[in-house]
Amino acid sequence: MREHLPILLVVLPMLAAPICSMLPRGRQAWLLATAVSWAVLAIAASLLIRVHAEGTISYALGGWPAPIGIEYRLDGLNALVQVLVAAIAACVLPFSGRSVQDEIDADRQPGFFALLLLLITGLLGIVATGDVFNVFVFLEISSLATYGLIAFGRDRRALLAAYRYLVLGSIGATLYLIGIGLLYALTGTLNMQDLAARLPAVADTRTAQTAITLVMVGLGIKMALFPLHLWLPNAYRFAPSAISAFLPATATKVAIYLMLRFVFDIFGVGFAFGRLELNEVLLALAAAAMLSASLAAMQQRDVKGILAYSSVAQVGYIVLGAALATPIGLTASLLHLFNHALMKGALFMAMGCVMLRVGRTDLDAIRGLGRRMPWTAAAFVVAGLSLIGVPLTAGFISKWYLVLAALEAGWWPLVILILVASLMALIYVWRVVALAYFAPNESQRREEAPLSMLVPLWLLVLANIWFGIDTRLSVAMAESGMRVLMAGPP
Amino acid sequence: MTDLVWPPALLMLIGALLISVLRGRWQALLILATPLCTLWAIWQLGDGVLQSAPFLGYSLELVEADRVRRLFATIFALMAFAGGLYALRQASWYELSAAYAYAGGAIGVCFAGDLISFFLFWELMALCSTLVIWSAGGDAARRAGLRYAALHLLGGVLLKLGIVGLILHSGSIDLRPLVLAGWDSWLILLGILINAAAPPLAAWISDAYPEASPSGSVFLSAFTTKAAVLALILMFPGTQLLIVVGLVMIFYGIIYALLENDMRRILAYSIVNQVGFMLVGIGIGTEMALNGAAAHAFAHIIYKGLLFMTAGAVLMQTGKRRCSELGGLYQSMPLTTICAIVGALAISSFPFTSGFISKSMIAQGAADQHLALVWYLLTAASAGVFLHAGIKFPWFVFFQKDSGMRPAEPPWNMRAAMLLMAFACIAIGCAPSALYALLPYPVAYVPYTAGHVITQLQLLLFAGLAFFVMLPWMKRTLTISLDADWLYRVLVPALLHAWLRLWRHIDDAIDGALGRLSTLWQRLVVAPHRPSGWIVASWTTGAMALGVLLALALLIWRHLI
Amino acid sequence: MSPQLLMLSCLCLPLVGGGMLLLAHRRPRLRELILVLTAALSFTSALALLLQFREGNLLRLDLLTLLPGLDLMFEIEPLGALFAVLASGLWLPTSLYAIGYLRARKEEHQTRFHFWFCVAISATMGIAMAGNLLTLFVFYEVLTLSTYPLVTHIGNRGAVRGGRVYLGVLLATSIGLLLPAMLWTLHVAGTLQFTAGGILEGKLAPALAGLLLLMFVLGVGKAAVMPMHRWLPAAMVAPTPVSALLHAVAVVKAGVFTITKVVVYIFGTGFLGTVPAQRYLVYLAGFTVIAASVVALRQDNIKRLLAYSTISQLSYIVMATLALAPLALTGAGLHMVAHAFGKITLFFAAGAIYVAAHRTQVSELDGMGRRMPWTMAAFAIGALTMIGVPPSAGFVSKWFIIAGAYQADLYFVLAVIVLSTALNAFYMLPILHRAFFRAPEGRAHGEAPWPMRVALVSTAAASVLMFFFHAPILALTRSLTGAAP
Repeated sequence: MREHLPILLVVLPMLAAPICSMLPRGRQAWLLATAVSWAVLAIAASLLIRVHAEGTISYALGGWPAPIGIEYRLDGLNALVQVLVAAIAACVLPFSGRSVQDEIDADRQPGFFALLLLLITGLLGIVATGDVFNVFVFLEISSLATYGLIAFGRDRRALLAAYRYLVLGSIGATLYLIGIGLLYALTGTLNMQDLAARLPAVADTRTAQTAITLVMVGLGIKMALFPLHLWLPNAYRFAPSAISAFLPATATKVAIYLMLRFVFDIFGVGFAFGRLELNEVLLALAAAAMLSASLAAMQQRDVKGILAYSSVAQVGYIVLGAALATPIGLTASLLHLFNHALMKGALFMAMGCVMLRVGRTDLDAIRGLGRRMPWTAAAFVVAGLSLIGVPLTAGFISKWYLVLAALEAGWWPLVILILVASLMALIYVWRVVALAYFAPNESQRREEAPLSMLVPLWLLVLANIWFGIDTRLSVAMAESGMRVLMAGPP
Repeated sequence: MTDLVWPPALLMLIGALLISVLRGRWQALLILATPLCTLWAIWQLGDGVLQSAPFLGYSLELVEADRVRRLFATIFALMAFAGGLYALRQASWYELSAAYAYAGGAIGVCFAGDLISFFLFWELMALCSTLVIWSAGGDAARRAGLRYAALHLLGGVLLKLGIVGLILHSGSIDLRPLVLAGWDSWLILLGILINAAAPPLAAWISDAYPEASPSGSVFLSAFTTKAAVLALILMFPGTQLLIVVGLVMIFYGIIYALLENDMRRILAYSIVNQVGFMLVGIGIGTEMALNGAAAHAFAHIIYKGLLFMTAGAVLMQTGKRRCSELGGLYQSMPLTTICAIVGALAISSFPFTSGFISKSMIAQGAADQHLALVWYLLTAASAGVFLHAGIKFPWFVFFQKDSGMRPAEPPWNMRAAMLLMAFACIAIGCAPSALYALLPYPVAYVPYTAGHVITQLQLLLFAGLAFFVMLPWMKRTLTISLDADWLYRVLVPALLHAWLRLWRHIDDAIDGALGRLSTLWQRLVVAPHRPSGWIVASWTTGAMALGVLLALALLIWRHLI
Repeated sequence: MSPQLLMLSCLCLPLVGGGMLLLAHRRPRLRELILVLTAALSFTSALALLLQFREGNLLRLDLLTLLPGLDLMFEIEPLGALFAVLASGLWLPTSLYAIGYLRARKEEHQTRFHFWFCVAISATMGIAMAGNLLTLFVFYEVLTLSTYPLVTHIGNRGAVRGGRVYLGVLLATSIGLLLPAMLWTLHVAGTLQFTAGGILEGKLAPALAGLLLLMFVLGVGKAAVMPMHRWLPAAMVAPTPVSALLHAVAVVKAGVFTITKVVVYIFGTGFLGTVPAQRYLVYLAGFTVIAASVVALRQDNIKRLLAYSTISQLSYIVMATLALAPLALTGAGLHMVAHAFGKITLFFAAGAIYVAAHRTQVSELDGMGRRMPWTMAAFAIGALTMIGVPPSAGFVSKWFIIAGAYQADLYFVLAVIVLSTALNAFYMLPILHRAFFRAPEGRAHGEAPWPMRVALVSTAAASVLMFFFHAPILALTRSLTGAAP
């Protein structure tokens, strides 16, 4: 049993999904999904501990050894990402109970949870697998699930948003597929490790370079790297609350993980960054993302819109650290990947609470929130502070590492860029906070969200504070991930 | 620390405080008793440092007595008494309280053994004298008081800078004779000279004193300038520069007094003139000259106080202050007239008045040092003094044409105060040895020689003749003579306004530039990011897809080149 | 009590008090009792801390380690001890005053007001005790944020606008300049620890050090050196107790305190002496002193006038600090205290006039000295403190600033002091004349409520007392530099 845990992690939600869809009542589906998500979290955590204790775990699917069969390979990096995905899922699912009841018709609820489980499957699979084609398969599973889930949104525009994401996501997946197809033609393997070993021999060919470009652009769409982010804001805005809490914390993170894996572990820094100078492109795009998306966030009139654009900007932060390709830079990048999931999850969950009680999330709905929903508003404030990067919150730690990395690399303008973007974050968070606490409002009635939502929300909020004060765990994880990446191709 | 001593300044200050609290008979009693108690305390002080206190990390010598300090303190206390008597019924409690604190400050300056406590009392004087001026009420007093305060605080700061520098550079806080070398001593001298009303910073005196109440100007005339004289005696004896400054002051005072129409402004300019005599004496710096300066200060306080009292009495009874509106008052105010004449004679150094025995000592000091030019100028100036103060003031106010007014004599306490001062003028003039005994150095000077008396009488006679010959030109119309005070009455406010305008312009310019920049920023950068802006607004799906392919093409092209 | 516990209690007492206030929300009397008790206890513990410090105990508290080399820790040094005692000491009269003020004005949300006040005080304590730049920065930002609800307490449009400027300037300067400066320092020196003699010597070229210093001086927006001063007049929309304690003492002094700490413990006066650009910053501060005074001349609103006066006086401290001479630093420390006493008194008086007479303009003060003798007498003492004449605390501090200017051979500073004294007299004295020498107009009214009167009289008395008994403060500020008398 113990050695099969890596595959169990992926298979468990996959198997649960059809069962879920067949359950008659939304409530039951929810219970099942929640239980599965907790189980998944337990497995992921145990795997992470094992990776740290025993080193990389390689699991051959169906007993076929690596080059021929599909290999699941867990190291310090993807074990961490798995835990992240599982943890967010374990938080979001209990949270989703009330909000789904409220937002989605009763007969469609089992389907919703089934899709959600499929999404989790896809994401976990992408992370776990060591085979680039298998990645594509899981990518498609997760994407299709996502399109469906977004379309569940109550707003009519959700459908359009889902459609747009579908188109763009498919383009991305296609580009990725073409890319790995070319690579397969060149090297004759789809296993990541083998690819890494064989690529240097053919690196000089235009085919290889084109393949890399295709893969990168494909992943760029998935991770919403500026300017390939256009699908994201509306998708997040109009998706059901639970989904908009889950997606930003996981989906883009997984795509980023994938990019890191490709660049550092498969192509190799020397090739991708040194020869192709992709790091320059990434830096430029990251900078543009941080500024442009923040500017857009500052002017959004819907809080979920603000948060969505903020997510685009935060992707910029993460890519920025990676593009520096230094140990500290990568640590910062991974830390931010982790911390941003915590804060964005909390922020979108808070908006889920608002959605439940007010029915909308535009700025007007926020007026006087501090009085009406004190716990929700307070959670938003703390997570917002973390988003800004205020000391004693998780956001501060990752930004601090990022700044250190920029300083160490001698990139002064980047330091200023980070600070300016933080300042803009301050402004867009403040707009909400000021309305919540300092705007006069007519209704003084208290209508706090139910405990089932508040508890997961505050779990994430407290995590934001915890990882802002006691950084040993998160930094150690990020560093072990960093070491995997820095070690480069075998 | 020695045995218990009553610091005279403290007594005066306590008195001032109590005056502000008590009312009625007790207040009147206190007004009269405080200066007398202070006087008693002054004469209880032996020589040397008598009281010290820690301050700013130094040990202050709050009370240090010697002959010249006691002399000045004595006359200050006497003047406070006379002024208190004069003001007893008429002045408001806050004026009296301020005036007594002012006197306390002056007495404190007298006994300050070190530079820091000297400065503290100096500032106390500046503040309290401002209050005395303001006590007159009215807008003119407000503005005059404000200018007065600003100038004196400025002088105070200069003095402070000098003192701090001196202490820092020499390591000693002792109040001692200084040599004019380096910034510090120059700043100290400058600070003191502002209080001594040396031109070009003399205008405050003619600006502020006439705006005070009748009793207020009596107090004002006594303390500030004479405290400065004492400070110069203690710190700058024998500084040649002071001779020049003193001479300038003497003639400045005469000329402006002759041009002046307001009776109290005449007297104010006359203070400048008289202090000039004292400065010359200090500048000469011999024992004789210093004695002369001290004695002259003593005498001058009395007769100038007397003159201000008579002017105040006239002002109070008639409400008029300009010479051109007054005249013929001798008919109904005989006592005031007589007192004014006594004061006028004293200031003109008429024999058997106090001015005669003191001013001549200064001239003698000049003669002893063979400073011929100085002696001639002093002598000529004596004639000038007679012109402006000796004759002009009493003539235009009490005689001249009949203005038709028949005001009554002032109340009894004012009369008593005037009589007291007039008596003192004559008593000192007749029995100079009493004053001489108080002077800092032994006096071997005999004022009443035939030659001296006759010379002086001749001088005064010719001056008097000249006055009446030139009488048509002496009549002043309603003019205000231009003085250095336009600097701070006109120029400084103008500069300030110009600065404020400039400031506003700069402000506007910056605001404008910022505004334009921000418009540009808004239009080019911010607007596209609005929800409706082209970067943010929903793209069509096709456009998105096209964009992605374009980006891809760009990247591939970049690699393949 | 152990020193560490004492430091913790300084930091946490106001917070605990604030929490209890919230619980006592529905019982105003109890709430106010808690407030006053908290203030008294805070003051006591700050005082105890000072005594411990003077006994020579090492007072150091490591709170948290965020990352290796990046920790929140506290360490007491002379200036910090002084600042802590000053802020908590003045909190006591201010809390009395605030109770009187809010009750008399019948303000809403009084509990909220008192709560944020407690938080702000706690942050101030954190700044005062900070042992490294990071800790200081953290509490600096907490102070900014916790005072925002106080500034906008009234909640009308004007308050929100003022609050926006307040927050905007303070956050933009601290994040845009102070934080980069801090990062740069860390990068160059490898530490942010406040160390006697500085940590930058030999690690940074003088020209770059000048740039860094500029970033620090402008980045500490709370010190209101022009052109970063605009937040202070904007903050005058706050209720007067806030203007009094926070914008005359805690917040603005936190600014100059930060600059002083940076100059003394980050750069080190020895190293900074070799930095040529340091002179230009002295000029900038001097310019602020004069320019703000000139602007104050044309203000009619009392609180705005006081705000500009504060800007001018703060730059005095900055100027003295940057003069670097031991005596100038002593003067800077003393002026922090002296100005605090004087300015809080002035604001108290302004608020008392507002409460009792509903007047806010200088031109409406005719005869106020007759109507409200206590208030205006206190105001007069405050004004004298600003001008720096005896018998007020301002005299003592200016004395040392002048001495320091001599020590540093900075005649520019002397000229600034001369000019600003005259200017101060020009805008302060007319107010006094109006109040005491003009006839009152309008309907008769009495003094403000007694808690307010007690507060303003006690702070005025403190200013006078400091003139006479300044030896302990002097000893403390002297040990800052180890200067000989």
